[in-house]
Amino acid sequence: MLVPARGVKRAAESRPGVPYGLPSVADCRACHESGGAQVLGFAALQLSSDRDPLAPHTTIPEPGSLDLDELICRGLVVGLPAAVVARAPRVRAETPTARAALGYLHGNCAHCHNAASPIASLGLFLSVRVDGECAALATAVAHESQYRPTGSAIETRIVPGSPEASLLVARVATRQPAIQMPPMATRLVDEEALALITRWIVEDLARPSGAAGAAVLLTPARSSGDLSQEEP
Amino acid sequence: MNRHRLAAALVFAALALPLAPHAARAGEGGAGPAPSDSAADAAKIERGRYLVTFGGCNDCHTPWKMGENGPEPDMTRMLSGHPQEMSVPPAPKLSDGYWIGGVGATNTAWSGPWGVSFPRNLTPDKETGLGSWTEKEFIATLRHGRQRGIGREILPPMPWPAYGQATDEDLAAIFAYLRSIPAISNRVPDPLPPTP
Repeated sequence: MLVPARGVKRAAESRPGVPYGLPSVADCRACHESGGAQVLGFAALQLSSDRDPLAPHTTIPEPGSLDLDELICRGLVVGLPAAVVARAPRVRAETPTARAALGYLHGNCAHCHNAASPIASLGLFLSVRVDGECAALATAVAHESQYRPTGSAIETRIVPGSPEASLLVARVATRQPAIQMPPMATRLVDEEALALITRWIVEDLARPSGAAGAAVLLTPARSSGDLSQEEP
Repeated sequence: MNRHRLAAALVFAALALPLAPHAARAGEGGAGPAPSDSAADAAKIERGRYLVTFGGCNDCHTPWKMGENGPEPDMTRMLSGHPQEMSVPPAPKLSDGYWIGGVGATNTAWSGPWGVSFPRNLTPDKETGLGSWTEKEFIATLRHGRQRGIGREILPPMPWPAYGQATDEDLAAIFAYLRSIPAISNRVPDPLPPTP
């Protein structure tokens, strides 16, 4: 059955008492057409066999599951840069917590908050490139927000060491429609992700080098090649 | 496109390998009026002025005051939205039935099943108005009923489903006019959620 173009506000329940709505056509397109790929998650980092054990809601894939290695092996994906073929892509960060937090922002926010998006003028990019550039550190940490919640003194996207002063945390932690992030298609706070981002801001970004954005591979995964030395 | 190429294209696009530089586009730029000597731009702005006037934008986006002849828009605050310094009392509770909403004396606070909405600042102030918006974002907002096209919902009584039917040319003209008017710093409050 096709959903009306304007969507359905209350189609089911996410959990008892919490309605789940089916997005409108425009809302579907907002998320699926604002990034590099219309199929969310069908991207190098998410498909990588180099799984992040700290990623929120992570699962252990079944043997033989389709991942980037398998796609390459079957010849279903061709023409990738040699560095990506040589080594499974991963979020490069100084600590495991930073890797997981940056990966979460990349996987859940960057399909809208990227440099090619219709809202690129906001200057908030939460994507991670496999060549090492981490846009989240450069555009969110210690950056003033254009949006200011009414009645709040918070005005910075991320304040190292201070989640309570970080607007990104405030918006992820609420489902008040005017403030919440993501702004659509979600009625429940992702508590596991919120805890991860909070821990990242408190433990990692507060360190002297935490917000510097120095990209360090934690462990070599497939070869000694370094993606940062490759032309993208 | 065969499936190999399609899959490669999808993965490659999603690699976020070099993203296109954030190129300047028409309609982008800083705050404040952008006067132009060109007759085409002047005509575009004039078309926008006509549409904004005809479309009744001042009815909700300009605060009203009590004048000698009754309520009238305060044009010293033209299109600057609900005054930030004005706190509003709780919306009146209406019994179930025909009446479902109310409006404040300034015409800039509207209550209904959606909560309380406050018409936003449409002036080119960069911090609190549309000064940082692009023409593309403005058009997308009216087309899709969300801030910048993909943000939070535009609430009633904003008739975006009607204005969203306008041509790109007309919406661009409206945006051009809104960029030409005086910038007013006024941070409109967030909408209030419905009370249980």
